[in-house]
Amino acid sequence: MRVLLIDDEDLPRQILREYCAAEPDLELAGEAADGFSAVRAVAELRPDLIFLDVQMPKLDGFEVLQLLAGGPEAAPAVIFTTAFDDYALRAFDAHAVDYLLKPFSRERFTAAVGRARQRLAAPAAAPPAAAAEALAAARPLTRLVLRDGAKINFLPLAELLAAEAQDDYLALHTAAKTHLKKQTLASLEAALDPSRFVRVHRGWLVQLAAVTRLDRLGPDTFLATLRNGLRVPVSRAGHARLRQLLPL
Amino acid sequence: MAAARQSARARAGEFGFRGRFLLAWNAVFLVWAGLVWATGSSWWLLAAGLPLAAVYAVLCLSAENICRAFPLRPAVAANAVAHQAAAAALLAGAWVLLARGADWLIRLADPAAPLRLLNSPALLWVAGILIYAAAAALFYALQGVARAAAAEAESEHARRLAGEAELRALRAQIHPHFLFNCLHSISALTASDPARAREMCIHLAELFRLTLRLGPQETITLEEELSVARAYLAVERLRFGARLGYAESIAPSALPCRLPALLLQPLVENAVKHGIASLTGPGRLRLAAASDGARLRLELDNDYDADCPAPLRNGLGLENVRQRLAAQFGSAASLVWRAETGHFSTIVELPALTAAPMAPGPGPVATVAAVEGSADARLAD
Repeated sequence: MRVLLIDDEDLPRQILREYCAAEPDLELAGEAADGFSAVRAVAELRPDLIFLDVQMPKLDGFEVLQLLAGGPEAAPAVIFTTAFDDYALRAFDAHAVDYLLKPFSRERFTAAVGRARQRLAAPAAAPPAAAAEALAAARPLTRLVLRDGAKINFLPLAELLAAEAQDDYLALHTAAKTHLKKQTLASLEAALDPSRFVRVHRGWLVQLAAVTRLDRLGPDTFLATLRNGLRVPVSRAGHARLRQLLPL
Repeated sequence: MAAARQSARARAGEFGFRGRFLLAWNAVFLVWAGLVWATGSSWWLLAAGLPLAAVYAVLCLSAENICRAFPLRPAVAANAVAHQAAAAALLAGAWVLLARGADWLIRLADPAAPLRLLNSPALLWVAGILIYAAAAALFYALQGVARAAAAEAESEHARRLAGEAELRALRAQIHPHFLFNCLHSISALTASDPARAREMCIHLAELFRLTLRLGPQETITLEEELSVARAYLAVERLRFGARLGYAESIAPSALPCRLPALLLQPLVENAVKHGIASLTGPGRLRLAAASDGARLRLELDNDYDADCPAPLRNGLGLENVRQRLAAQFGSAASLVWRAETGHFSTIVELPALTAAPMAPGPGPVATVAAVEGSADARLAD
């Protein structure tokens, strides 16, 4: 297995190197010290397994995972390494290959690598994005990461007025422009704060604060108008959700 | 203890306004004397009237007792008015009788004295009621003021308690993930560089010992606060290596200044967590302190990744520090921060308080350390 070590601190990478050296079938493909170089390194080195730190400069571990899931390459198996042991980690335990709580022992490391071997031998149902979602659900998301070719852009959540499902992509509407991102509406919805962003329709999610008008078109169809003039179809269920949250 | 002090103060306040109430009667005496002089009345009137007024002043003090027994709350207001009215009628009546007695004495001494006021008992009775009503109104007003002051003192006390609790919690939490990351680094070093592993253990122990020792003290000297910051930075330097360059310039005159315990620490931690840790290359952190005898000025600068969005940089730390400063010093202290493309600076100014009075005047800057090597040497002390 080709392994990529991602951690911004030297000492944690050093301990991973030390533990990897004791596993004969692990081949060290490279190391990365921040989120950007991690995404680049995965694209260039095509590792089978990555050890991914959470808190890093540029992009954190979850954002790296988000980008890998939306990228063209097959995403590698992921083992998180982190000092956080929030219960959120248990939630994603079901999805990611494993996570190692710093400080971890050689035995714990070996067990995680064993799980990665199994996962790679029989590709799992859960893509790494599921892990990112589970984690994102438990911590406040402040921005979305978008990949535009080799460039990485950030979209602050406050600017996201609405998201629209378009086949495999999402059209992310802001006041200035519309961005495309490879993601499902359900996974975006799961990662957002439900009191700020509301699923108003099968194909639409809107920011509550952006809604300026809500009109009835027919017995079961409604139309929301956003502050940039964008009109969004609202289903009966969506209308019920909106009415609950909006002081209209 | 505090409660006893508080009730003693409240009692002193009551005596204060009883005394002030009686003093206010001097004005009544003066007006009376003026009237006697202006109307060309007999000076007997003054001689009889002054003791009479003085007696009534003391009688009116009972309005204060009733006022305490029946405060003006909506539920019991009618009760209070009834009691005060009854007391007014009785006391004014008693006063009229006293005036009658005085009248009789004066007539004995000088049968020719023209005693206009005492000739009309009904008028005197009404005047007595009005004076009593004015006294009662005054006491209710003073009671309201005293009650508001007590409520203010109470909430101030509560705020202080809350602040102390917060500080205790702050000390207790010593960021678990910081500890776990440190232990992880030590675990890495035990194989590759045991000497540095030991060094890190020692710095970490020192940091914990210093922080936990702070105990119930509310303020510590800048020197003590700095030793916490230095122990913390020594640990972080072992983790971040060349990414964390540290320099400090501390005026000796600033060292004995006292500040709320662990005021600087969250700022230093912020500078590392949201500044240095956001950088992929080397970053600098600079700490300066100076005092001109009246003001203590602390300045912290650090580099950060300008591409990093703001919410990731500004923790709650800054707001907490600002609140603690405001709670302790009000407008006498300030905290300002400024972010300029890749450079974050925080300036704290507060009154320079020392246990022993200090000679004013700016002290010379003792240590101006450059980044890297020398800072490392001092941190390793």
